[in-house]
Amino acid sequence: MSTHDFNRWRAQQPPDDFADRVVKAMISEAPQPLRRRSRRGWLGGIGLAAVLLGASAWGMLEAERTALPEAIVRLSDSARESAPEVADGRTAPPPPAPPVVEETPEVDAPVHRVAPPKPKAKPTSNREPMCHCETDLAVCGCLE
Amino acid sequence: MGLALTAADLSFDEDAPTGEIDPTTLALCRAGDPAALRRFVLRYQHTVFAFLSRMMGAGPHVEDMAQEVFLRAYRALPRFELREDARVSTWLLKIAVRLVQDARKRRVPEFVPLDEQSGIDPLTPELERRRRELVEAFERAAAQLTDEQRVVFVLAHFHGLSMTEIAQLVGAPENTVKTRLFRARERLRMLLEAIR
Repeated sequence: MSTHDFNRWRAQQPPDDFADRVVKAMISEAPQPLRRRSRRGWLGGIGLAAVLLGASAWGMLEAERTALPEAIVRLSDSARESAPEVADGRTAPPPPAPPVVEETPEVDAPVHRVAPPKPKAKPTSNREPMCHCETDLAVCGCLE
Repeated sequence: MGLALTAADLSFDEDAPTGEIDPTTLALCRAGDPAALRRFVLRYQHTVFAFLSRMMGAGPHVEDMAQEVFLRAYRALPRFELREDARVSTWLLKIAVRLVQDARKRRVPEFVPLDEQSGIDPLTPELERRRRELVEAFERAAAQLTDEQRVVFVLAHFHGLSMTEIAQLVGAPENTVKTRLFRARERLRMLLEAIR
């Protein structure tokens, strides 16, 4: 069988008035898609505007809510606020407090250095010395 | 076979005009010009009818579907760009393929012999009988193709589309299209030999 034989598969022919009927249908429905599209466009525009307004309102509220605690933290941390900035932009650690030297009767005796108070608000607990020396001595006996 | 058939007996699409529609007419169609729209429909109605009747079987439903193809095309016309590689006929066939696929999901295809739908040109009784037998045999054989094989066969054989174009139209790889076409031809050949 050759491809010539495939041509026996006939096709239906359009009626004579088909084109006229189709054109009539085209013209009659022409305004409909435009109307539908414009109404859909309006609805879409209103929806989009509502979403944008809602999103911006939420964003502003969220920004206000997060900005307040940060300001409080900045105000309370006075040590960091006054600290100079180092070259790489980070805040330098607070300078150590000047050492407090207790006056002792012996001039050449070593002294205890008191650690500078930490900037934390939480108070540190006083610890008892681990040795069994007397507490009012300037120098513990165990260190000598 | 010993049949002396004329060209008119073999081709039923000879009234169909050839060549694509010109850009000016297309622009007028976009503007809704009735005369241009009529020229547009007259130019492509044979192509659309041929494809639909071969895919869905002849009948009044073909006319309804063809009208739907043209209406869809008219709605989508503002978005269509006439290019070298985008022919109007291929674009219309693409719309028709989608329509056939949608229709197939809704109902079982039913092939009706064309002789029940329309009259045949009067010929000599013997020639007429032989021709009728052959046509019916072919339509029965074609009806046994799968949907995928039939659409590829019709587009390739009757509408002259390339494998690439068919692959784009049906949304399948080119090699798959080639395989479907090969199997469709083989199956038709086998069925027609059996019928004879």
